[in-house]
Amino acid sequence: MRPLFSVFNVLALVLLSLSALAYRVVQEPPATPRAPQLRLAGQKNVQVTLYFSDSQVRRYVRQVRDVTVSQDDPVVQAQATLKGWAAGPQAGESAANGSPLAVVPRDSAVPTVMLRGEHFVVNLPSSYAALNYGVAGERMLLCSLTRTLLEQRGKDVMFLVGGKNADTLLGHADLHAPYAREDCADE
Amino acid sequence: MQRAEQSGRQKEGQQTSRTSLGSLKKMALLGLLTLAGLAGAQFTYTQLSLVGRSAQGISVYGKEYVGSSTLSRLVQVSESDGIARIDGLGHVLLLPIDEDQQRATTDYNTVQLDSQRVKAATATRQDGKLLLPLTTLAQGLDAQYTPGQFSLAPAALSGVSSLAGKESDRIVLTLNRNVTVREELLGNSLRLTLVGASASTQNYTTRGIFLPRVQVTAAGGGARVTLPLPVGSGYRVYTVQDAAGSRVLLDVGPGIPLNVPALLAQVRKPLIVLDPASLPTGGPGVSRDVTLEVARSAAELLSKAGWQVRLTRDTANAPELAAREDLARQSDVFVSLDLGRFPGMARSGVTLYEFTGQATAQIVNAYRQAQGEPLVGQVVSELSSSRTLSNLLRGELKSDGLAAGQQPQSRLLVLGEAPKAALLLELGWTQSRADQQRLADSAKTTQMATALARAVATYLTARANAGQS
Repeated sequence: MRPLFSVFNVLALVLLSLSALAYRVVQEPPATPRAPQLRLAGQKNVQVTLYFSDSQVRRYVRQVRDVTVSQDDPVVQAQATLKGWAAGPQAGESAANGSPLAVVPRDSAVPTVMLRGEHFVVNLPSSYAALNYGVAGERMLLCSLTRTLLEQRGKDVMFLVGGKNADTLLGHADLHAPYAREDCADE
Repeated sequence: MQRAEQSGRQKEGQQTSRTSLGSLKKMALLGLLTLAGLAGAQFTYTQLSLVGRSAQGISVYGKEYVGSSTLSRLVQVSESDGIARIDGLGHVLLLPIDEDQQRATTDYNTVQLDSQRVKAATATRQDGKLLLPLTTLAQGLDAQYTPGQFSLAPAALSGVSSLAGKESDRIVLTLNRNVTVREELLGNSLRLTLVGASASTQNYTTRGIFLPRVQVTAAGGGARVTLPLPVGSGYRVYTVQDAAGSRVLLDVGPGIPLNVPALLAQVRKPLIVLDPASLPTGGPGVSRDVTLEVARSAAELLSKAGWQVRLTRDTANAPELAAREDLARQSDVFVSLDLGRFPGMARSGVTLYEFTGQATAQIVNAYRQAQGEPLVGQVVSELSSSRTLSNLLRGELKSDGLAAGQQPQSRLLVLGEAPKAALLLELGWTQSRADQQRLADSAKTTQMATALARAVATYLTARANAGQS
């Protein structure tokens, strides 16, 4: 009689067990990969100059502020600057001359900005056209924004209202041509 | 040994003399080249006395020329299709522009001096600049020219004569040389200025029925001839040139059509446009439509005094922007009335915003550049006219005990359409308690309306007296 636990049988049993194990392993569903954690590599603080109105709506009040930008791109920086401008002056920030007044109401929509070479194009939200400002107020809105954008780069700023070319914003200012620095000089 | 040394010294001496001869040759060659270069440059700058003023001339192949920009203070110079046109002193000269400088200086060119074509030196270019020959200019403009000296005989009005006709009368003004004649029609008074001419102040009576009298006055810019233009009569001015000098002929009468009626009507009755801003529910803090009230009161006062006034709105409804712009374009005086509004501000009082920027229409800007030309002042005013009106209004408000601020503004939409004086009068600030009280007082708003009416009437009267619309 042949022995049951012969070398051959033992080896064959081991091989069979390994095969069964391998079969089971390959039949298991693959583990779900974990999504990689999003990290903004280029996030950094940039110092920008923002312009607001003085209490007489005559002069510009300058504030220097740090804004966070995710890319080293002029349009992204300009957009971040406008976000700071629309948020209004912040208490405790250094102001060059006098106490500043916000030019648009708090929580207003932020204008969107595009850059074409040396020329900015700013799309003012339609809600701005409903602001109840006089001639000095309208000029202050457009010029504080112009000065804020042109502080870093660019030659002029063309304004659109609600995504379209407009004759005026609030009935006083002429928006047919772009605004340059000399249009917004100090009085 | 000694012979050998001597021969060596002789050789050295020969070599030295050869070297010095060579360097002399080189220097001579260099000198020749320099002289040849100088000779090749066929122009030199010269000092020129141009009608009593020092100017720079250019001698091209021995012929003296002057730059068109230098000459433009004396006559108008323009160029088109290779022809230089010189217009002034009563002459028109047409000179072909020859790019070949040497050929331009010769008499092989044909130039046109008024109605005559003659052989003379013509225009050329140097570094792209237009140069004009002084000999030809002197011939065409009746001037005296010697190298370095270009002068004009002093123009003088030597005689005034008249001729009565059936349908028109004629006045003949005799001058010793041709001059530029400027015409200005101010209301029903026609004024001719003989630019640069001297004359003795005198009144002349004629035998004509259409032109009974002529007044000649000596003014700073030249002799001034003023005459009344009868109703329904037109006029025509032209110059006749002859060897003895020139004559300016003026025909006046019903037989000549008047070709500037619209302008005359405008001058006789200027249009004042008042533009009260339409504020949402009168604005916070001001319950009444103050801008409309002040505009209505001022318009009533001006209308009673005989002025022509239009309002951009007469109801609570806001007018269309296009309608406001259309009225602004027609206006002789345009005044917007508004209230200051801005959240959180601490400002009060009256402010006058003067329009100081470029007009929307390029033609208005072009006319503003040409203010010296006749009739231009009646169509488009200088930008300073807004400041004049603003000063008058400030004075009127001050006399009523109200101090007003002034602020120049360059980018105003509707005011930019106005070809003449344009202002924005900010009556006060809606958030200011002091202004709210002042604007709620009818007596105070009537005072402001009166001040506005007085300022506008004074401004237009002064303009009319000064000879502008």
